[in-house]
Amino acid sequence: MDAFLTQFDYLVRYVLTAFAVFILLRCVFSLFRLRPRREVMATLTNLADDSEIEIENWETSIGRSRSCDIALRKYNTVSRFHAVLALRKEGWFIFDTESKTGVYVNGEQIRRSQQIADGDTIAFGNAVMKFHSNGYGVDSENTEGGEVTDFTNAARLVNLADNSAFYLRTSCLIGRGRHCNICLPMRGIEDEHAEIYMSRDGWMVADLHTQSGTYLNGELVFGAYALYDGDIISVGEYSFMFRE
Amino acid sequence: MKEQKKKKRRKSYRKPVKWPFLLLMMTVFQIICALQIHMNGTQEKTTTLVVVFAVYITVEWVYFLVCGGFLHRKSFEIELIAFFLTGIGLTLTTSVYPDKAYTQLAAVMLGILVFSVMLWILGDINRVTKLRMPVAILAVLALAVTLVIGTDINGAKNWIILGDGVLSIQTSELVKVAFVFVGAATLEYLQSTRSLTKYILFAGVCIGCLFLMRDFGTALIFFFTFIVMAFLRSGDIKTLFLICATAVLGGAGVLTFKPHVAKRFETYRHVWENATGSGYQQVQLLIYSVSGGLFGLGIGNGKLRYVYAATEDLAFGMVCEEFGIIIAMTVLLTFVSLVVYSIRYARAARSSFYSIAALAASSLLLFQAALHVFGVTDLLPWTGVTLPFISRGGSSMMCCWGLAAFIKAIDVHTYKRYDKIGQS
Repeated sequence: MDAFLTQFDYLVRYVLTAFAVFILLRCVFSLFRLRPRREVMATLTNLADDSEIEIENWETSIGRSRSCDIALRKYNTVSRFHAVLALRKEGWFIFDTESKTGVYVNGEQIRRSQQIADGDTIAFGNAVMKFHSNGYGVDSENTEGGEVTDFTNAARLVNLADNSAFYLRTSCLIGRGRHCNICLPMRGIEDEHAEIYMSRDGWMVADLHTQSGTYLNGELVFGAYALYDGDIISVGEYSFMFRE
Repeated sequence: MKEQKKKKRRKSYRKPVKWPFLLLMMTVFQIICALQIHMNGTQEKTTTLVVVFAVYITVEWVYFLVCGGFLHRKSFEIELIAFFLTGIGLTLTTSVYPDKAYTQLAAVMLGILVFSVMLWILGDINRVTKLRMPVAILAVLALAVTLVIGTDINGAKNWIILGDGVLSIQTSELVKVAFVFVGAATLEYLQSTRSLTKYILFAGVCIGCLFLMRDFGTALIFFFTFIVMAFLRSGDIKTLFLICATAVLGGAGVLTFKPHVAKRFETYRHVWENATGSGYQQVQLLIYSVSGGLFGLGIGNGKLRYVYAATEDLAFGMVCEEFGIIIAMTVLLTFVSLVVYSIRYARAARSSFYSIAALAASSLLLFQAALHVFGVTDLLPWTGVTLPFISRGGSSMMCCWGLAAFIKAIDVHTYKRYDKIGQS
């Protein structure tokens, strides 16, 4: 027994070190497992020249100053720090940050802050923009029978070609057929090409025995693979990023 | 073949941690620690040992089962790190100060409570905006009260002792959380006020109070956090240079005109000359932390534990001697990684409030750890600050868990309400 205890006392330090290093490093690596990718959450269209400004942050500063996220340098009626566009729990808000010429939503001046909706026209001084939310912060209360859903962090597929998002519910078929949820009428894609579905362990992608195959992060999918935030699914010439 | 291996590794690297597995490993780690304490006989009361570890491990499992199984949260790295480091601290306390084990356990539970409450508060940005002013007033009041009725322990008047020593609170630790909370702000607030005056005033009052209490270590931590936050809020380097220059001049002035302050730092770089006097603790630490070697001597086998304040001011030395330098360095690396994590995530945060708070909180933890480690090893003047999560102390434990909540809140995925649709 004594010999065993001495051995235990001697060996245990290596075991403890191994455990500690493994646990801490695993956590640290997991913290860095992916760069937080950002998408276009909304767009502002400048009505003067139809140029589009893409909004990728939850909070965006607008003003004439160079340090603003959206620098409206050519407009001399815009204050240096004019307004802030922010996505909150309830939806998109525009804040007037003590600008000289004020912020107007659909022609009416706002006092301090106001919620804005898809399609609203916002004027900062003489810079007039049309606002489009890209599925973020949309309250679908009116459309779906009282169920309040926020799309901000839902599981979705983002088409990398045009940044459009397809929101996943329970399962999603990708293929050429018309009945597919994501219909891709292209050569090289079969009628039912791939399926993305929710399982007990989270979202999975499965290849439906196709010739050209489905790729997950450049790797051919055999059977079903688990999906994680930021994974890229390639079907034919199309690529989708999975977000959750 | 090699390519395939590389790919495989990359893939496993991308997966989020599976908490049941890591938690199981952590439980085994803690049980081994408890066994070792028992075998070395440093904790004479077996019931205390069993109760402390059983309760702590249960709390861990309950927390993760509730958050992972019931609330369906996804990322658990911050909690795993915090629980692991707290476990090391608890092991050291139980072994070195057998009678203080229950107190420390209670402090840890309070810390976890603070963490959960803070996470809830931080969930709603409107609530946070409303709470900032009351918290600022409370923080200043708490420091002022300490200044008046505080008790002097080890040369710093920063303790409030209630009921004949039943409850002792170090207010400066609790104010750290408030300091970060008040300092961070949403973008529209920053853009409408634009000047730092109010914030500088608040920080000035806090740091001034700490200076009057002669708690220089904490004052330095506050000042560093203030610089970080002021930079994040304004990006104004010129003002910051001005503030730093003023602070350096002020510090130099204090050292020249108040020699008793300078006296506190006289052993700096001269610990070996005062090895039996004022440099005793540091000399002991330098000797014994080396004797631990790479893998440590095992819990209970060290000599540093007989030195005064071994698990508080000398906690780094204790980890080095009994757990080994590999674990000690990994712990420090973890603090660095928290800062890097906050920087990487800052742009994707829900509001500038979260970015500023997380970065300030993580750099506060890192700075405190650095001040602790470099202080005891005599590379910087020794100010007696604690090592986050590991040192014994109730207020400091609550402060660390509170700060961890800020780092946790930077990730959008922390709050389930932002991905409701995934469940339907």
